Amino acid sequence: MKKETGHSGVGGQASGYPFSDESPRISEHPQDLDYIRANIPCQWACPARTNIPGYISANYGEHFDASYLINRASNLLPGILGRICSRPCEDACRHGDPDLGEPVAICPLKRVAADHRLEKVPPEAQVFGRSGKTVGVVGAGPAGLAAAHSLSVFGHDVVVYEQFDHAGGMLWYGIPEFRLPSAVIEEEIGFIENLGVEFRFGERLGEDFTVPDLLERHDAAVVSAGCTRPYQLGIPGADLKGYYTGLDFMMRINRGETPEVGERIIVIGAGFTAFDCARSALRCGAKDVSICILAVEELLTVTREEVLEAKRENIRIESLLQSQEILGTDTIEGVRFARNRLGGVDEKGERITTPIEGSEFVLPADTVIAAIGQQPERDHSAIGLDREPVFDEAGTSDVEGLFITGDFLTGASTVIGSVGKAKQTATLVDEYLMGRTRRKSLVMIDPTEDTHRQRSWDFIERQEMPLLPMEDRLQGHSAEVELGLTPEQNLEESKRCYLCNLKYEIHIPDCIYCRWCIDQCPRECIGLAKDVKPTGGHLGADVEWTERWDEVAGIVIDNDRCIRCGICLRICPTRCIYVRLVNLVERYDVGEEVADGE
Amino acid sequence: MASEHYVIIGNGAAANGAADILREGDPESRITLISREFFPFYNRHRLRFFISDEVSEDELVVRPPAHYREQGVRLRLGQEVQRVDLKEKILYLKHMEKVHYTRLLLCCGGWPRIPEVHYTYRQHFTVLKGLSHARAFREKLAGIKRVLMVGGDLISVKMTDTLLRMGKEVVFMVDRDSFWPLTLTDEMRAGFAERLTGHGAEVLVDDEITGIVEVKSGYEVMTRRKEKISCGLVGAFFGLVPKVEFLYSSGLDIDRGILVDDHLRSSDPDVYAAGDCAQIWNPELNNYWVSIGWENAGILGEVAARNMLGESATAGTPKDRALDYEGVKVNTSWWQIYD
Repeated sequence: MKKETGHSGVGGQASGYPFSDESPRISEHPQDLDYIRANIPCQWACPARTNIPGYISANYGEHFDASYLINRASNLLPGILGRICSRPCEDACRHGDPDLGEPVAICPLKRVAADHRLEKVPPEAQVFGRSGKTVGVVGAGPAGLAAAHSLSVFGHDVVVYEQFDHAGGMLWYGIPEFRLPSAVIEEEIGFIENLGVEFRFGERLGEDFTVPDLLERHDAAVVSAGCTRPYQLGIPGADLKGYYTGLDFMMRINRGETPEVGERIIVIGAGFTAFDCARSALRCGAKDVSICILAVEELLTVTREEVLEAKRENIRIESLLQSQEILGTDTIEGVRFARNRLGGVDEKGERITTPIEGSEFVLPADTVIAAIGQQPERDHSAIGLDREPVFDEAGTSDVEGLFITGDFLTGASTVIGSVGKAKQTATLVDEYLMGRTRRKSLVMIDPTEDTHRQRSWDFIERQEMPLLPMEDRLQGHSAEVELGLTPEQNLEESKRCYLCNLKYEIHIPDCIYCRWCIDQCPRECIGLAKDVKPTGGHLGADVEWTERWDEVAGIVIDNDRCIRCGICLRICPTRCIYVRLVNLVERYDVGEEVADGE
Repeated sequence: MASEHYVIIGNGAAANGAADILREGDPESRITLISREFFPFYNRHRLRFFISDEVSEDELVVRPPAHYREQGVRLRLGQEVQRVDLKEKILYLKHMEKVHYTRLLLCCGGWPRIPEVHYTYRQHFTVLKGLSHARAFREKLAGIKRVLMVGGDLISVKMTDTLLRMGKEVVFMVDRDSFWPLTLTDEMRAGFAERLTGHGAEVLVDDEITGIVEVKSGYEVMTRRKEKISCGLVGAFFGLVPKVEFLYSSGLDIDRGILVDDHLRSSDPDVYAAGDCAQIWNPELNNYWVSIGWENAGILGEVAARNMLGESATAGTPKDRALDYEGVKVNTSWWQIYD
């Protein structure tokens, strides 16, 4: 495959980088971390802080092993998350700003790395020697796996206690095979097992052991038992035959059972589980499936692709509906709903919906699945504690040695959210055990001679995910619907990334104020500055903008708005525009030396 | 009242109906119409005659720009609103201009709907909503003999007549779900099919597209029944969806369309909506509904304008209107064929 150079052979920046004296390679200055927040929005939006521009660059070079490792350093489960991630990164992607097209397909590119890597077993960085400490982790869901992995990398001996007979938690029991094949889950969990993490299945907290038991056996305990108690609708009729909770319905399917469904299914709920239930019900033989939501489609938190695929499969989304009663005698005959109106916003930032008086009507159905979320089972007495422990946001408790994390801490969230939180908690556990912080997020700043991009790449359209034909989808639960981007699509999609980890800067002493860069900039991100005050870090600055030439102190690039097209750099007659590569990375502190985390 | 600045986004039947009422009711006010299209207010229902070369572009025009000058209405053509700040009452235009308003009427219309099941083929479809679509349709028709029509909305059945009159062969794949938001009964669908066949179209029912390949002569369309249809153009007619994406960040209540009450007032007291973009609460139906059609749009524009002037007009109970295609009636009281 013929590759194009990002530099395009046009212009280029001067050698002799002017910022070299003042630019350390590594920074942990808060202002530099803040620069990442503002300027690499995808990475900051990712709860695991995955180096997205980094792995997309690797994808462009078809270095899929490297791309997989960059991913895995942060989010641990690239093959899994490349399929089912909720994609907060794509919502933040600058390419999705008004007039700039659609966000980069960040998640599908992650999957490309997992699908096409050559090295099937990733090498584990054995950064630390064995610590002699042991940690008990409760729950083998995404958070438990992430915590176990991190703690093992830190050199601790980890035992994971899991109530079911398989690791994976909701990955295994909650997500249908047609979205996430079990082989992918098993492979990536296998990598964690390879580290020496011990799994004990069939052991349930509160039944087979308690928290005090754990703290006696281990130097620390992490409870990541997830959210396993389904919320109930709280309306009459939920005891009729044909009523399921979403979690129960999905667990039955993923255990190989075929739940009995009728022809007309109503799924009540608006999250991934609701969509999974609806699509699974079709594969159980249902003919007519509706997802009934309280608010409106635009406010759904599931991905756009999930909505699209559900609709392609002829599932209807009925908006602004409040369920009031499940009707029937022995079996379900329908659901009485009221129409809702939207109201203001509640304290959680969610839209308020209010049923409209007199608007009740009945939708016929023979099966109702209530997929309205789950909550953690955090009854302290059931887990052997004599009082409710107090936790902070990171999962540290006021019980010596006890930490909680993942959905058990935050309430139901997302897989990537659980992984991110568990990594954060694991760092605190390690700090508790070892007395110092041994993993940090740092900003790495390097000059680069290449823009890595061409302006024409900004106009490439987002690549569409190849899909299983409709006629092959509904025969069972195991045929994966999304087939993954092809290598050709990977190349095109990788080009679309703006590489927001490039920082464009004008070296003001060399600027002759010719305005060429301002005139050619397609995004109006280069302007006249009256004053530029460093913020204290190595990257950010407070700019006072002006439109008056008689008070200009310099021409400045607003990197928050810049799309890194490189035109300014190529057109500058004095070559006074420079590029630095800015990456947020994790680094392990092994003592005197600092080791790369990726 | 002299300080009022009524801004209307759109330049169709609803927008112009509203502008007339506003000017009449508040002669001293400023009124601005903002339209994405460069062309003045034109008759969308005559676009098929433009496609068949029976009328010129100029003959489509309902109101020339001079009309607005006479009425003291500022007409901004070819300008796109990108964002609305409800708190500050500012519209942000694509060309980076801000426009202040005191009361805003959204008549931003609809956009051709492509059902999700056909989403993969969208780049192969030719749609017909505005003049730019009609120009493309007309250009593509030149030199081709056979057209595949998919869907079956108001425009498509009339367009089929036009195509047949132009001497084109028409294959019509009737979609059950095409008269969105209504669903045709089997009986209605059979009635449509019978009449389309009577006009000379080849009608396919209970079939669906499974693949489209672009070839030198046009397209080869594969169907579930394993038919291969060769045609020069695939026309997609699945009704309209409200064009409201630019409002998502505003905080207005939006479902499929802009949610408004029976007075066409949105969740913001100074913002109203009328026409295809409005999803209206109807107390008698006990449901929200999207009104579609030229005449309905004009009426709703007038209702909204009256309320913007301080009256208390209601969108009212849907009258007994029906889509009537040669005797096959769809009881769609909010729909009406206009020619």
